[in-house]
Amino acid sequence: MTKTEEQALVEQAQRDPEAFGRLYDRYVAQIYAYAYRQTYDEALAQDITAATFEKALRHLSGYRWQGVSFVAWLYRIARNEIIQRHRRERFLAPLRGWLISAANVEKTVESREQRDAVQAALKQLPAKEREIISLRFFEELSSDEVAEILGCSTNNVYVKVHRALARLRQELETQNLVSLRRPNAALVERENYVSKEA
Amino acid sequence: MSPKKLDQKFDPQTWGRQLDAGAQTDPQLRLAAQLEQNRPADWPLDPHFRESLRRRLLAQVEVAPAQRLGRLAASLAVMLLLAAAVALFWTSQAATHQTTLPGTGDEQAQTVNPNLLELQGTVTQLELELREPAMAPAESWELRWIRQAIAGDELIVAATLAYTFPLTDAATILALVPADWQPGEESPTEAVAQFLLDTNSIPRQADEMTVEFVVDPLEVWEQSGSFDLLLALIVDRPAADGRITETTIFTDRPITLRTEGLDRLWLHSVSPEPDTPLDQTPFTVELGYRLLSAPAAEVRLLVAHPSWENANLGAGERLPVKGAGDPVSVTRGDGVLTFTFTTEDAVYLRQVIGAEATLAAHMLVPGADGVMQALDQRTFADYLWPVAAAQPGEADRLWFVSISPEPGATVEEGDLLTAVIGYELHSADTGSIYLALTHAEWEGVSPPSAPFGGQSVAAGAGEVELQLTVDDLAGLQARAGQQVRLEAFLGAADEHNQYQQLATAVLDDAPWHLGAALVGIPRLAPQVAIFPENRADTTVTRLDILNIESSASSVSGMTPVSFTVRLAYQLASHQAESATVTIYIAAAGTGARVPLALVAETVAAGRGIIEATFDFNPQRDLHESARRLPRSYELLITIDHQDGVPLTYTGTSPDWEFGP
Repeated sequence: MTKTEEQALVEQAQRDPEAFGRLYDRYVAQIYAYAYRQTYDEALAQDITAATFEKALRHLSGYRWQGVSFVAWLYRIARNEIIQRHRRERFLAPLRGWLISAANVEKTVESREQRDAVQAALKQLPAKEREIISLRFFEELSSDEVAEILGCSTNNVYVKVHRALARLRQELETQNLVSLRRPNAALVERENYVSKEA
Repeated sequence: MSPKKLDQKFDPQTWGRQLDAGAQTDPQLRLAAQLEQNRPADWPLDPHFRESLRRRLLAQVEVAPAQRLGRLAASLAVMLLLAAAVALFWTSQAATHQTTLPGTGDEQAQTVNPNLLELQGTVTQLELELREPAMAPAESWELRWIRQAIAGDELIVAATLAYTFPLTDAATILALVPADWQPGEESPTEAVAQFLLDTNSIPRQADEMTVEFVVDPLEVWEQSGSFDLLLALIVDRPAADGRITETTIFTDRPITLRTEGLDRLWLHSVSPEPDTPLDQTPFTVELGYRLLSAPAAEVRLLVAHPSWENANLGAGERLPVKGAGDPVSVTRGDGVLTFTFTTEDAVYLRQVIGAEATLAAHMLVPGADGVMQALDQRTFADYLWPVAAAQPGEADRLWFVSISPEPGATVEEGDLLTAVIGYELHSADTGSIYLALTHAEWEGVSPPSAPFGGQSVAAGAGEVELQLTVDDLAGLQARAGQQVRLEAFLGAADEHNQYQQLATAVLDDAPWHLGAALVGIPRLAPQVAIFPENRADTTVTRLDILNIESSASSVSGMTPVSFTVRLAYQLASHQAESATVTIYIAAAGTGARVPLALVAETVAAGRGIIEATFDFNPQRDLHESARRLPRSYELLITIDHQDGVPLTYTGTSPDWEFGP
């Protein structure tokens, strides 16, 4: 679906909410996957997905096409929902025992991440840098879309991505998991020289 | 070789275009490509959930506009303030530059102990690996002086050397910041450069050669107020079959150059004196500054915790007390700034900072990437003021701003009460505001019988709009004709993570009248309210036992008794469109609760009421062993997922006493 087609569909859904179903069909799996990657909890991801689309439907009439994409708007809602739930959970836990505790989420996240070197290195990064790497590379969003989600300029996204990648690279090197060094040309050259001398 | 400057500023736009185009021309871009190729697998979406949510969403299209508005207010998104993170990254590659003579500064003598390195690739790679010495590039080396000085916007590091090259005409000397050196190490075992500061060409021999390295001050003292410097040498000399390039680090350990003193902040005077309790105390602080390394900077004064000495006080990283945190622009030179502010609210201070407060200050300039970087940041931990805080909740307030419909009206089930609540929250970072319909004689109804729908609020003052659907309190239908009042509650988790009520507001001078009951069931007494405090489900989004009423609260002897249980529930699960509600009578205090009588009813998603009448004959229904001794019995309510998913809720009533 091109951006023009998407814009037309969004505008149709604004006039005829029944058309919202098509937007839902197109993006629900993507938003769910994002929510899951952020929480590593199936039920919580479903809740966040449901809340995201409920809010999107409710606010659809006020949505204005910014030239980026509709899915960026959905991501923004989902992101806010995730943040809100983490905050809500923190002080509502005494009232509601049924909420998943942060410790459990963290534990789940940890066990998954340990399976993967990049995930392990990502875990060492500050949350904001993890988030921007996740949005830009794992969610396959464009830099413009990430800027829309985070509410910053595209240039600022570049700066943040660059910084996060530098730090991730440093982490990977520290963990000796990925060698980013180039071949030791001078050493090769010198060894050749020494062997010829011999 | 002409002098070269190896550092180049990062241009986000150019680099970003390369990123978007999928280029792999630098290590970051290559890593980006790796990440895109190895993204984690998507977690499959449950088709049942997908269809169920779709149906529900499209069904909402038909929801009345008023109800939609109601939900709108209850679901305002919380905005995340992304605090700016200060991070260090420089790309380094060759670029031509000319140096100027430095001024003079502190002098530091260093001894020389050359180590031989071999260079990986070219110098611009900045990845040097230490190896055993194989051949000395020079007959003698002596590093006599290291000086640092400010010239314009640049920091000049000047090294004075005496040396002789036996085998080559010239060499290149490098100043680099090591990435992996830890203080206390005798010598770097692997000198990977964090970034290269500068390079210079030097001739074959010199008795006293001063080599200047031009450094962007922001590069080297952004984080610590000091930086470590290694000097290395590249010689390129002829060999039997060509030429050989060797690199030597000739400083035996990194030279730590302090930058404090170039840019500085200090307390010039302060009033009130330290140890004066702070409680809305007007503060006057004279803050001295010296700014040398940049033409202009911002100075900000903060109230801080004493142990924040080593914390990063970057812009936005700490909460400044209102009025004290406004940045003041300063230009290069010395001066004294006067800050006058009030601590405003000791409760707030105590919550954010702790029992003792001190002052902190930082001097910031925008870095290459637009993020503010600290030239100097200090926490004046020697100056302490005790914070005289009020008791938690004392300063928290809650009040009604407006209410709709007008008080005095008759409200029916399904009616929506909309209230705008003003609040001041000081004793917690976040709190939650709830609405409830209450009545002086109702026990267990407030607060809050149905906590869902509460609005999260952050510390500070503001207004929130809250809505309450009358049928949230299904038990109200038994109270037709009664007057009810609206009550708002502000609560938060205390330091033990227990819910603590901080403030309430009651609108009791103009009560509403409850309309006719929905199903006309006469009031049952007493009411038994069960709160979902012992739920442990992880699958159900919202499953509330809103109220339970029973016509019997006690049974004497073994007399048969008939009683009715009315259970109002709300089932809103994305996974379950129906559930089984089971009501037991169970022996209490026996560990495993044995159901003695039960009614099970399958309920659909949504709200509803279950009414079950029990004809309970202890003589008949109780097991013989249970009849022998007096024992307590209780109502046990369970709601199970229709597919037998583990128990999601268990609530119990107060005990009933049965006797032989």
